[in-house]
Amino acid sequence: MTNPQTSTNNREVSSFRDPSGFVFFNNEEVYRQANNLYADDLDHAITSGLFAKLLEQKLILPFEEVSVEEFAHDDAAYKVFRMEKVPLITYPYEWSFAMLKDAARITLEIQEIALDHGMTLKDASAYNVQFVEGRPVFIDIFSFEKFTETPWDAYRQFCQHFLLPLTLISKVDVRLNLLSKDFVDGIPLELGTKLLPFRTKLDPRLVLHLHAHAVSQKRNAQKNITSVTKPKFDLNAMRGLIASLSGIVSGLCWKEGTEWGDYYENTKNYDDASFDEKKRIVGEIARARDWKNVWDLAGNSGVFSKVLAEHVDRVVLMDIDPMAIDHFYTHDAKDNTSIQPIVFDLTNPSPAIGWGNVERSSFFDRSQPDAIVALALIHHLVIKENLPFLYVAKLLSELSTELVIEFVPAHDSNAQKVINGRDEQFAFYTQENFEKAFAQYFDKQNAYTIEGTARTIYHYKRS
Amino acid sequence: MFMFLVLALTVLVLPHDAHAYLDPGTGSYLIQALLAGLFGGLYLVRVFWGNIKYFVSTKLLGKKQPSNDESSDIDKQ
Repeated sequence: MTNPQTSTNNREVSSFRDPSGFVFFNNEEVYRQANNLYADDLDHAITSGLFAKLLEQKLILPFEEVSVEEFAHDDAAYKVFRMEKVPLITYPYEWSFAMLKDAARITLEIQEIALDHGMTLKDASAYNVQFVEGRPVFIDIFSFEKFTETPWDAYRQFCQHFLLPLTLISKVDVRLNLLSKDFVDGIPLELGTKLLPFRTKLDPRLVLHLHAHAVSQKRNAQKNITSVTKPKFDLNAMRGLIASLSGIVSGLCWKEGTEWGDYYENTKNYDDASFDEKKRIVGEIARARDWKNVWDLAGNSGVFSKVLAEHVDRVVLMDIDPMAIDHFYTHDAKDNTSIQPIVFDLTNPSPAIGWGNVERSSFFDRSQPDAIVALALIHHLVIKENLPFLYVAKLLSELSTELVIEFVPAHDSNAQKVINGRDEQFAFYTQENFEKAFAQYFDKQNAYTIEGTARTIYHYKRS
Repeated sequence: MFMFLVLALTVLVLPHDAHAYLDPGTGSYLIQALLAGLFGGLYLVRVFWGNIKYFVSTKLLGKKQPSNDESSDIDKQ
């Protein structure tokens, strides 16, 4: 088997494992080249109606075939397809529980449809799924091969990328989803199952797909039976396996996320009039500008993202709290398709990882906003995280030319919570010092006091 | 003849699908191979569940078929 990679020019750096084809760029468009060795399977995916069905069900990213003579990246090309662009690439360690569960669900749904058309998925990586307009879509159109009554090659990968992280969130702690950042091929079965509580060994399906699976993988790591003979695994067995996995995935829930779901509806820092006034101010600023892409930092469950979305093309709703992101994704994402939610920690943003430290890019490389909105955040950064005003101002000025930021004074009840009696230590935390620091990187356009509160919203432009 | 045999053996020994680039893991294959029958059986039970329920309730437990009898009674009236 050859690995035809004649040139890395314009190729997507993460698209190299599958010899069937790869992603490349040309004139700001995204293309997928199917190599000659994939011709047979690709033709079957087309003629069997699989592609048509997946496109009709909106499970796969839309694409169209283009002239191979005109667009081929190299001589190995069989066919070339132009792909619709994903507005913002996100990674599984940036997703909330409901997002990961949805991505798992459509992967299994797509496998079932593939089986209806005599095909099966070669891989089941979480990186094959992206979120577009509030819904998961499958992006790797060359992931299909003819089903030849052999076990599912992607079973291990599905368990490591989807089932194990979902089970760890559900049964242990939501923060364990971040393990995906350190393990680029999903959480290793042997490691992840060690973290599961004993009660997961009482569920026969979890015992089978996770615990026994991990033990079997470990015990047989040095053995090599597959190159000699492939065990028979007929269509019913495959359907049964997929049905079993679907059953567990749909039954997994994140209790904390559900219980706290309504918390955000009811919690406000000020009275209704002040809250509405804050929304009015943010809307007024956004309306007057021609912003295409805005970050709503610490946007919680998206109240202000929705205001911004009325006036800008795209909003990225970013919050460190997976509960808030889960709440937005579950209740609001489909009705607010220009808002992309992600779990995000400004003090530790997603780094570049993987091969060459470029395979999965840093968040800052993936998104460059026209403006950043940072409401009810500064006191967390400066007081809780001990970041000097100047550091916050500097970073924000490097990330965007415009900034809408709310100053939360020391005597505000929320600021008092994080000061936690350490008044002397944070005596420097004043509006004057805030303004001085930000003046070093920004020019103030306007300052709006929020009636009924002691807070001020500033609109800055980078100097 | 000898070359033909060598070629035939090579086909048997090498993996059949050249496109499965991913290492499936021997352990993963074993689990699936061992439980192929179970998965297949459970799937068939799920597909034919309606038939199974009907069989159990009518043939094994001797319950009457409900809707057909009622309608024929009504017709007789």
